[in-house]
Amino acid sequence: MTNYILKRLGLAVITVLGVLLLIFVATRMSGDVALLMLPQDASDEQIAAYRARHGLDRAIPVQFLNFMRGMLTLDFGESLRYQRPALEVILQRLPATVELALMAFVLALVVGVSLGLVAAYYRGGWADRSIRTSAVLLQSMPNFWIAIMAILLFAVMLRWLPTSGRDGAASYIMPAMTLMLFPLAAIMRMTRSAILETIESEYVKFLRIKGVSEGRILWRHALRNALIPVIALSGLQLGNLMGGTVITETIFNWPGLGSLMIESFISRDYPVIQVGVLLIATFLILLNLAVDLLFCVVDPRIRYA
Amino acid sequence: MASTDMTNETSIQAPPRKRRYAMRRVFEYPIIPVLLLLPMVVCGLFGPWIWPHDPTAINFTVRQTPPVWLEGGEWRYFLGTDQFGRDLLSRLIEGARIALIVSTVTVTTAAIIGTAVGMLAGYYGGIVDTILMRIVDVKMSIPPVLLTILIGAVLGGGLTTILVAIILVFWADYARVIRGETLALKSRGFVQLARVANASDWRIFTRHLLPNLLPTCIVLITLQFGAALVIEAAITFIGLGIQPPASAWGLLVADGRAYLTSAWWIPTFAGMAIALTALGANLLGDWLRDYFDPRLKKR
Repeated sequence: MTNYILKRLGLAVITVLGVLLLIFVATRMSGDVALLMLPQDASDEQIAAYRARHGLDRAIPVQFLNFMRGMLTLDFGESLRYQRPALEVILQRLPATVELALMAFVLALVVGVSLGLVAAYYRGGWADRSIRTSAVLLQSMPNFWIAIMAILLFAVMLRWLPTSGRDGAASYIMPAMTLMLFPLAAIMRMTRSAILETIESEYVKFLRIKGVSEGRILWRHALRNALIPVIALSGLQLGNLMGGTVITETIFNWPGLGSLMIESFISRDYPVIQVGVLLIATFLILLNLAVDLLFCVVDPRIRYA
Repeated sequence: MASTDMTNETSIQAPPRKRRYAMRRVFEYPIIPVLLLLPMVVCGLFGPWIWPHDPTAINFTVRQTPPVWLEGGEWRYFLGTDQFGRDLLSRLIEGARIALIVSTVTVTTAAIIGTAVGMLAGYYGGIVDTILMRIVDVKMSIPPVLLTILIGAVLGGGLTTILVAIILVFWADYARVIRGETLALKSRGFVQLARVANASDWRIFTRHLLPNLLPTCIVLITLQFGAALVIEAAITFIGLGIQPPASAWGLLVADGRAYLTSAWWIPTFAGMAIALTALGANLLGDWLRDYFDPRLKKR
């Protein structure tokens, strides 16, 4: 067990290093880093000073080591737009995103698991068919378009909800619903197949022979066994959700991390983009690790290879 | 006696069976998916010969004309016009070309890279496998949209950004699936025999592995074709992709956002174009999966 944890931890560290390497290569690919990192109206002296200070005149491997040292000591440079440390800018926008993401994730779990459960229970029936058809439809319809259609209906035509912003409880409804769509179909499909798998297993057959009622089998036995992997795997859908925040926050003018990334792209605020990507990637890698370890704890049948 | 009973039963059952058969004909061939995909392919290839107006021609006298079936609509502008009086139908047809180019180029390139990586990792194993799969891990830990922003910040947005980003997002899917299949194929008799017969690795790859991997590839390509459409639209929508005055479906939705109150038809129809085409690709992918491997048929 300890060996397994250590091995997984090692892999996670290597993956984080890989992400760092990718960010480094992406930065260097653009040509002159000094031009990328400094405001567009920087003078020649400023550019020269930046190059000297960050060792951009050194060999590439030395540059990489310097870059890594900066990243590992949480020194990410200054935001070009705000003239403050990039990390600070990011952390300031983080709460709004976490709030929205949590809300959307809980919503997706509740809706996805219930629909998956209904589909599995009435498999082959009309409920199952319509749920699966809507899953395919959901996959084909761009989520940002669904959001805009929702704005058109609920904000412009019916005037029930505000079009954008983060002000009052009503302003959370549409962004949370939109963000929920990103992991929804996957959670639904996972629940359905997990429940079906347990329903067809030997021990459920035995319970039936024993005369246990179908409802009790579903709630007490099938759901319990199916739900653990579903919830754990749903954690991996958080990656999808984090990507979704960029789109959702842009549509609804939500003052979070996602919209910050787009603003940073538009104003070429490269340091902020670097930190944002690194932060989210690290979070997802750790999450992945946690899910794997969680699996081992809750399901002792999994072997540590 | 018994035999008459049986014939009776058959004759009673015959009519519904026939009807079921007629219904099945529809599902036997992917008619609906192809019908959904066809407009995009035709418009993408022959756009300039089809569009009723020049998609970039500005005419303020007819700005924000609603679709023909609404009050004030005109037959000349079937789906209405935008804030500059440009014909929406023509702009949708022009947008089909970007959609077609992006989906085709990205999905094919990603398929070639991903299949090669997957075969190498699966066949050679060991250090090659470890390195290649770590790269896949790195890719999987960065959400596609963020990867696109990272690339966009370097390349500056536009068509190149879209192409590079989607290829980088997609290749890993092939790599993972193909690696798994290659691992399974590697231990099969015909591959082992080919190795015993001293066939070169290249020959094993191209003659023994690839033909067996092809069905999986084709299914993935079709499914990703739909995903590519949606991602391209999303990238363009958040402002990293196609720039005006060119026309792309995602751009029409993004632009239409500002005119939701006065010209709702722009984002509505542009989104429908994306959704229906992607639906066609997804349905075709599902159909192909069932066709190649009936065991995978959904329960």
